Amino acid sequence: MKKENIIVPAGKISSTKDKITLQLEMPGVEKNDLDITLENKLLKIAGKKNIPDHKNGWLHRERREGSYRKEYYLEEEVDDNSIKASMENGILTLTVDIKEKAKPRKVMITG
Amino acid sequence: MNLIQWNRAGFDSPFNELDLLQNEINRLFDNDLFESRRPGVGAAPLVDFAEDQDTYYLYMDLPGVNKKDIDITISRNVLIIKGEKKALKDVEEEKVYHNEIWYGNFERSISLPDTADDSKITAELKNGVLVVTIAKKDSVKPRQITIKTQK
Repeated sequence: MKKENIIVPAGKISSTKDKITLQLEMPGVEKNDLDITLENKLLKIAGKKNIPDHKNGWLHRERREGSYRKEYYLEEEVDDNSIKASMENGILTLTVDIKEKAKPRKVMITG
Repeated sequence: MNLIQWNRAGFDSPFNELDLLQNEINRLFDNDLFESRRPGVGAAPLVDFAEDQDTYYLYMDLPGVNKKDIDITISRNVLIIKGEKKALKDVEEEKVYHNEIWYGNFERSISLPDTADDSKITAELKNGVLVVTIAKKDSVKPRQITIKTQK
């Protein structure tokens, strides 16, 4: 079996007080070729880069063939069941909600 | 990546050596490391070029770039693709922990073979990849020649 090339996608992680958003650049990946799994807090993202097969017709190549791979370890404070994914224009966007009790709270002073 | 020739001349005094080192550093900054048009470094997106019997295909990775921000022009068989990759702004964010995603202006120019027909070009943006197809001139396409038989 031919060993598959692994491409590490460029990513961005941002948050609001309610959720964490992860964006990854995965140009050439069809929605159906994405494989996202979450098991024991380990988030695995894989996606095959679709490059047409020109056989002997290549005149110049710079883009790498292979599959995008990236793994993240999710913290306790995020709700695994809330994970949502969307793919648009070569950008994969994943969001996870921050658990209610992990959100910053305002402490009222009494007395 | 360009190969840089190391200049070994004049390594006889420590001061010369320092001067040379300074020159080398200047040279690196001037025209190599920070060359904005180097393929793959953001400003110059990666390109593949291929052909089949009657078409040329150009592929350029442009994840997150909007169609309206890409400008494709052709003049004297030189195809110029330029545009702007904007920072990802579609998500609400208060804090950014980590960002490896490049944004800014990009440009690449590609000299097409003489056999490309610059009047027959189409472009499509799919899954963050720009695909430009250019037809080959009719005169270079393979033709079937029929053999006439004499009666």
